[in-house]
Amino acid sequence: MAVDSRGQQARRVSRPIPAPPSRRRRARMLALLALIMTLAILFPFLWIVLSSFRDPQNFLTLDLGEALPRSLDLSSYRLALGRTDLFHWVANSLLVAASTTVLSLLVSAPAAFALSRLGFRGKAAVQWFTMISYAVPSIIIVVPLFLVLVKLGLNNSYAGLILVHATFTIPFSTWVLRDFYRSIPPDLEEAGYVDGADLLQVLRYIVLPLSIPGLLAAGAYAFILSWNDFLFALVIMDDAAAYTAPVGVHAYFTGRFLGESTWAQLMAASTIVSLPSVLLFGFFQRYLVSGFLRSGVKG
Amino acid sequence: MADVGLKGVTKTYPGSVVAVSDLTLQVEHGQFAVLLGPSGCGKSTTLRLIAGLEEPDQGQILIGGEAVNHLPPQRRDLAMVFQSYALYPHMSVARNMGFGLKMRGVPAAESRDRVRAAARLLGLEELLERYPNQLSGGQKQRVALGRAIVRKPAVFLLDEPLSNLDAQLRTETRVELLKLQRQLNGTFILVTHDQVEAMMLADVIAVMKDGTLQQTGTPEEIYAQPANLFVAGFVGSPPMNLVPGDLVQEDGGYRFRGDFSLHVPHLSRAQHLPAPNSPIVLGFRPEAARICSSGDTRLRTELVENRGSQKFIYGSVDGGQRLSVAVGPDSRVRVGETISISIAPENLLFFDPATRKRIGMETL
Repeated sequence: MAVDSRGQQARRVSRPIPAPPSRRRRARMLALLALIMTLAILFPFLWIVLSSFRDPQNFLTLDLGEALPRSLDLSSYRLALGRTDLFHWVANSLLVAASTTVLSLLVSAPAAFALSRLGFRGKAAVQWFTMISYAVPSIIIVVPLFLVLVKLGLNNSYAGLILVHATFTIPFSTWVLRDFYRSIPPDLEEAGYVDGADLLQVLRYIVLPLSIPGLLAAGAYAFILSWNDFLFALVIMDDAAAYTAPVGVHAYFTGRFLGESTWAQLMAASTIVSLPSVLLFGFFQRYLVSGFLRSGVKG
Repeated sequence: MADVGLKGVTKTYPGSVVAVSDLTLQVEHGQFAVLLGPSGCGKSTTLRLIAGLEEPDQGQILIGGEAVNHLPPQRRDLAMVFQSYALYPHMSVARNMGFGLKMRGVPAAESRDRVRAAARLLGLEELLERYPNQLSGGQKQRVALGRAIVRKPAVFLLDEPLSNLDAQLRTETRVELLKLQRQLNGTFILVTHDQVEAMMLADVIAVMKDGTLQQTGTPEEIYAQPANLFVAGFVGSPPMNLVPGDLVQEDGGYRFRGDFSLHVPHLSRAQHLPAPNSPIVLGFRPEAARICSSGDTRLRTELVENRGSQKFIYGSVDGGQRLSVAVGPDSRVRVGETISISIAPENLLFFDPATRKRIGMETL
């Protein structure tokens, strides 16, 4: 009982104390600014989503009153799904993004653990190259990477695309996870050893459960990056049946006469393609933010 | 249960930082040993070496008479309480305490019983389903202790286990710790920089400085017969009065001459006398001096510290040397007053300023 009452007391103490008026005004201004920025960033995406539900016959209207759909018109979705291979492309994207995520976690988690805990020759160089490789703009290496894949016979293959995506996601995930592991006190692992655990047991029972938020952040990031990739998928995948969703949508609608109905289908297809990464982000947002904050690295 | 021995153990960290240098130490079975020293003296490293979390560069570590240098921590039969407690944040109190048993393949039912028994001993029964972030500092400390005792290891290592507790809780926990050690009849090795803690808990104290052992002994030995100037100055609060000067022979004994002068009788019976007129450091505890009107040393009072049961008078003699004197709680000495003190000759110690060691010439 005593503990319960202490708990309640703690809650009472933690209730926010009203801020002085000047600070409240500042907070309100900042909130307004944040709202404006959020709307500016979200506007194109919201426009796509709203347009996808609009009556296709009335798509290109300049009347703002018409811009908001009066009812949920799903005809564009039916057309987009019926006329294109969207399902197929989404499945391809899912395969590539999921594989990239697994591969990148399998490599980056142990690498990050080693970088955060072990001392070895060349450690500084490994860390430096990891960071630099992430900092190189992808457009610069697209052609060299393509040539390497051709040499390896991996162009126009999922394996090739997954490897290429992993070259971007592994360095970043390693960086995020390295700093995440650093935030786990080494005392916990040492306590594990003294308690009788060996390295594998320490990893399994102590480090792994504690690094789940970091793994979720790194995994979600890898998935979103791979899912959203357009450039590499466009260059590497020739076969229309193997297109990922962004490339498939692009290929289908490029060159077509974009009448009102086609525009609406494009919006519907884009909404469907964006959905997984939006959902994933929404779901893991807490971990993504804490993962990036702990790592001191921005996404 | 087992004894712990270190033989010529040296540990150097990268950058040639010598953390522990040629350390030889023996802790007997069932003893409560305390490694005492200022921060950076190598005491925590010593504990980590015994635990197997660090490997020595030289020397031998023995547990129960068996060399364990190359055994990893999990194969040394010991438990450790970390300064940070190092409770697994994702495990309940019960799982924290039972983790070591699980790792050692103890059946779940037996593990549950042993965790419950340890929890009863430490008053943790109500907290078994809680998580570390739902515990107060004192509760975390007890869980960390519980995790150690549940396995009934041969040796318990405690790295500043009380330093994160508030003063009152620390005093209470010291008593608990002592009771626990007697109850378990375990070999306990505790690291602390708190000499009060060391004096209260230890059967044997090992004082360390800069990675080297300065002295081992019972708390009484360490206090009354410090081996060198460091131990004399480190142990005791306020520390021992240390006064540089020299010794000259005079009728009926010797005379110490420093910022004040003092007749030292009976010194002729002592051994290892320094050459006449050679420099020497005189040491005496604040309680070896007392106020008396016929005292031969005059002290100008600068501060009176009231500790309730006792007062300490801090002041300086004419030559500038500062001294502290213990007096009873009823003493009415005020700041600014000049008092006469006399120092009991049987409690005088002498140190060689060159070697910094105590000279074996107690005036007994």
